[in-house]
Amino acid sequence: MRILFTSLLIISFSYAKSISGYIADKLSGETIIGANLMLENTPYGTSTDRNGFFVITNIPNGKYTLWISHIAYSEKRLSVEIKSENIYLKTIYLQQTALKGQAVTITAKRGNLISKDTDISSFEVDPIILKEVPQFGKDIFKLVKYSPGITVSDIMSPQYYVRGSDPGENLVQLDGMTIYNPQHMLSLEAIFNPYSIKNIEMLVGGFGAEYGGRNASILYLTTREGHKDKTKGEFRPSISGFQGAIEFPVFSNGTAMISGRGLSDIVSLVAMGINNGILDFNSTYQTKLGNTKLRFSGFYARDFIDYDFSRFGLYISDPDLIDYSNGFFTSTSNKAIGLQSRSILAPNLVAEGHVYYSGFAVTNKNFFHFSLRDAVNNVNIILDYETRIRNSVSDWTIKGYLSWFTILNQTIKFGVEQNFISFYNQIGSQDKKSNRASIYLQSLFLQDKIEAGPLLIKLGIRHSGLSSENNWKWEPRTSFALKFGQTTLKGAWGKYYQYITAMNTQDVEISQYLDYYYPLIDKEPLTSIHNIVGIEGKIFNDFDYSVTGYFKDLTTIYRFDYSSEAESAYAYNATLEKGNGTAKGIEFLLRGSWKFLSGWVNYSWSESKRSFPSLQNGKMFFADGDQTHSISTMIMAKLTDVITASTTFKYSSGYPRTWETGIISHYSYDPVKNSFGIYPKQITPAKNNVRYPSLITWDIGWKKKLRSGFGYQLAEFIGTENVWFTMAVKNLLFLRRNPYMYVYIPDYGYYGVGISYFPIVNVGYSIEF
Amino acid sequence: MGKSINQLNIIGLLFFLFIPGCDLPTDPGPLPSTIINTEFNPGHNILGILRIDGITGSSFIRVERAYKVDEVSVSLSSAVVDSAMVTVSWEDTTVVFEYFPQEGVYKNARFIPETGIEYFLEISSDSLPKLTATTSIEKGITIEPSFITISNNHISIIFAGSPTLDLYDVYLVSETDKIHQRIPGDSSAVELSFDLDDVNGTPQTVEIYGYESNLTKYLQSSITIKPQAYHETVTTVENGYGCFGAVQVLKIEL
Repeated sequence: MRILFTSLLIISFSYAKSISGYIADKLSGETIIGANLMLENTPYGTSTDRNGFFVITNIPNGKYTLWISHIAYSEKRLSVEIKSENIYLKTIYLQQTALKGQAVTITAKRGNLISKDTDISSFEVDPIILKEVPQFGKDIFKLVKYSPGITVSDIMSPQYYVRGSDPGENLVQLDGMTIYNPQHMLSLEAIFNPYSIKNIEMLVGGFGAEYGGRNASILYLTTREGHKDKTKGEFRPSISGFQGAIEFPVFSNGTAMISGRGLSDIVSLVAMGINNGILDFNSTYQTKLGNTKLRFSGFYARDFIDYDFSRFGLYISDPDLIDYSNGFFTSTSNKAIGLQSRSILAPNLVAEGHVYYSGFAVTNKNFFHFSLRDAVNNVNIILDYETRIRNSVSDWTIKGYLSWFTILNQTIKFGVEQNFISFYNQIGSQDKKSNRASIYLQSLFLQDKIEAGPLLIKLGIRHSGLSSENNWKWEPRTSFALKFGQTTLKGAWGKYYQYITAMNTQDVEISQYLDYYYPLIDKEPLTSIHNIVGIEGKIFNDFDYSVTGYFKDLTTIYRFDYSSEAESAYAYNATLEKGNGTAKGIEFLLRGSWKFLSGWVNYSWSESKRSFPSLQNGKMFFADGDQTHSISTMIMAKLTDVITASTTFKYSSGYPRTWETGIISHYSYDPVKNSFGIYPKQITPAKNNVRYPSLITWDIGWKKKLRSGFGYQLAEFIGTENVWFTMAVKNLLFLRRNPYMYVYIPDYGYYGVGISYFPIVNVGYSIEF
Repeated sequence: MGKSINQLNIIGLLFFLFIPGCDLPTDPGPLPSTIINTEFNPGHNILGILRIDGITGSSFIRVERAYKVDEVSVSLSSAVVDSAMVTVSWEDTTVVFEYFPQEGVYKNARFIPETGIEYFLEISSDSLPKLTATTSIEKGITIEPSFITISNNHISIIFAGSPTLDLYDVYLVSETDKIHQRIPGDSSAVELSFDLDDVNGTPQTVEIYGYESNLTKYLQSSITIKPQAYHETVTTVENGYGCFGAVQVLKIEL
């Protein structure tokens, strides 16, 4: 074995010549993702990765013309000669396309889902969409929810389901740092300022061995590096706060980017005295030391809201009302700081290192106290409901990767990852017991990507486990892509383990805004097996299609047993009930551009079920996020180089919910007074026994560059002409209600409560400098 | 020509706005569709407390009925069942609990439960299924006065738990105030302390309430006010809803 390995090493360094380097924007110095490179008149080519890095391998000696292209940049050709050594070209700069007339089609082409050639069930999105389509509200999650395979179970919640798996199985990473609960609770949008985001990559299944820790999806966000020559930025004032970003050079070989947002719902604050606010702040600093790039990233976000409706109880003039108080308080914070390094050890050997801290904390309190005297029966009717949850997670991670681009067009990647994650969970108003737990999670992976003509195969194995338990798991992963003509057949199979679960509080909280993380110590990890097959191709020159079918076997999942010992249900030694589930579906995606139009439409059919021994005798029931049919579309019309119109539409089958059959009094008991209280409780004999009506939303947007007026003059004063007006009209189908919940009104019947009964108009103003 | 195109555009827009449906704010809106047929099961809904405190007549049973959602317009008082036949039996003895309208419960003024005895409950009334249930406390808790100590502004309490008691509420009671801790049951010694600064006034008694498994399960069951959410109906009775359980009471004067 040793001889074989050494031989391969010698051979690879002897015969497998390669060309590598970075591709970057000439003006800003920002590396370019997805630039295409070809050695003209040869089959050798590749594209830049998320670091803007490329490697073309397996090149025989000779002279070549390297042709570099990207939709937003002018083509470039370079002469290169392969002799006896691999070539590292360092950084090649591309000029942005200057032809005015092309700005329309370029933006149109960029504003689309981009399917990754090598992976099934993964796509990239250029954040330009967030700028051009105002109804997304510059929110990454809103954009993600229009992507194939993504559904929501609660329109009031920012959480999303990917191909039938639970929200707690989604991983969100910012420059490789895992971010816990990456959404603002108040506005339900992502905590990332879109100005700071350079690329959005979504993997919804069958992802390779280099990814671990979550079973359903990876949302990988790459931030901008900053302008290398001058100070640039964006500023968006509004009546509710500010949003801004600035990027600038630091000394001779460094760049930095700082972005921040601070917003408050002024109407709630002034009219109802409800204190609230959201804040997020993101910064990066990047520098080069020889062939090593270093990047420092820092991130902070905070939300708080403090409702107290007790004052409204003063207006209830019932003499039998003994006591009334009702309120809601939540404070959340996210912090992350990290250092990444990327070293070109040799033209075909790259080493990466990363160390980071990421933390999240929440304090959440809901209370409702109501006491009324029933004089007829001489009893107090008491509704006493209070939840108090404090939850935090701290993640220290160190990881290292080695990528070796070698013979037979192979990319061999080896990595090691060590996570130290600690958890804190305190539940209950009376329970003063706080619970702490911590885990050391270790992973190794080896992945080999082989390109042989039209066939690309990725084989990987991941080995992971908690160091406290001698129970390491193998996670084999494989995928392939076979090209024949304009069509590509793709497939993937993989086993996935997840050592942290998230408590599903959908049945106890009015709306679940957050994941409450929970380590699976002394328990089997969450386990799922992905089976995916699909076909992609072109219909016309600028139109692509894909059809993907998947089946996921969720062999191990958990639910929290809320039925008894409620206090301990939230402790780290709580009763977790093990169950299983399945998720299957088929997705159709059509995307493309034509003249000034671009966008996509996707349809999916899916079914997701769960089974737990104590629920309905273990019979399968529809999962909370199950939505049989889903259609979503985004169409952007770049009418001129300064005007963009857009429309987004989404239809999905309703999600399953539990319908009550009756009501009983639930009793509380005061042993000191030997008395009791009663309050109504629904009888729910079966979980998810009804399906809510379908959800339909239609929004339109408009973006225009200002050329006159106060807004333009303000921008001129600052020294720029890049000032934009945006308008979004949401909920156009306001006449058709999307019920969020149903309440029973005596003598009327059930009434479906909707989120909004009128169209919503948002206007915005931004200055780019 | 331009005017008719605009009219067409407006008509087209209205058409698309109305196609998905038209729900005025006063309309109920679209309703869910059924996946699994589930039916309402009528029955008694009770809270039966056998209070082992050495006092006759302190035990009680509250009896109501479950009702359908569309009966919610009826006041909660009509859920009370005041004409049921309520009996408690043990060994060869059966006693009848009478309804006390002032308190809204069924009681027997001469009934005094004890540890080590299993009690059977039966409730019958017109049109509702007969409800049955059992409860007992095999062995009670014991405490020595010397196991209550006061020092450094703290009061420490140690008592021997019982294998048949699953949960304890311990109160420190003054004339005007009380503070409380809830401790999971353990058959070994239970140890806890209170900070005297947390209670107003001078503490006068320590009161220990031990619940057997039925009452523990019921009192700790989760509740939610969220509609259309699944939560198991915790019940410890047969052919009905609610709980029939026992609590042992121990009061120590300080």
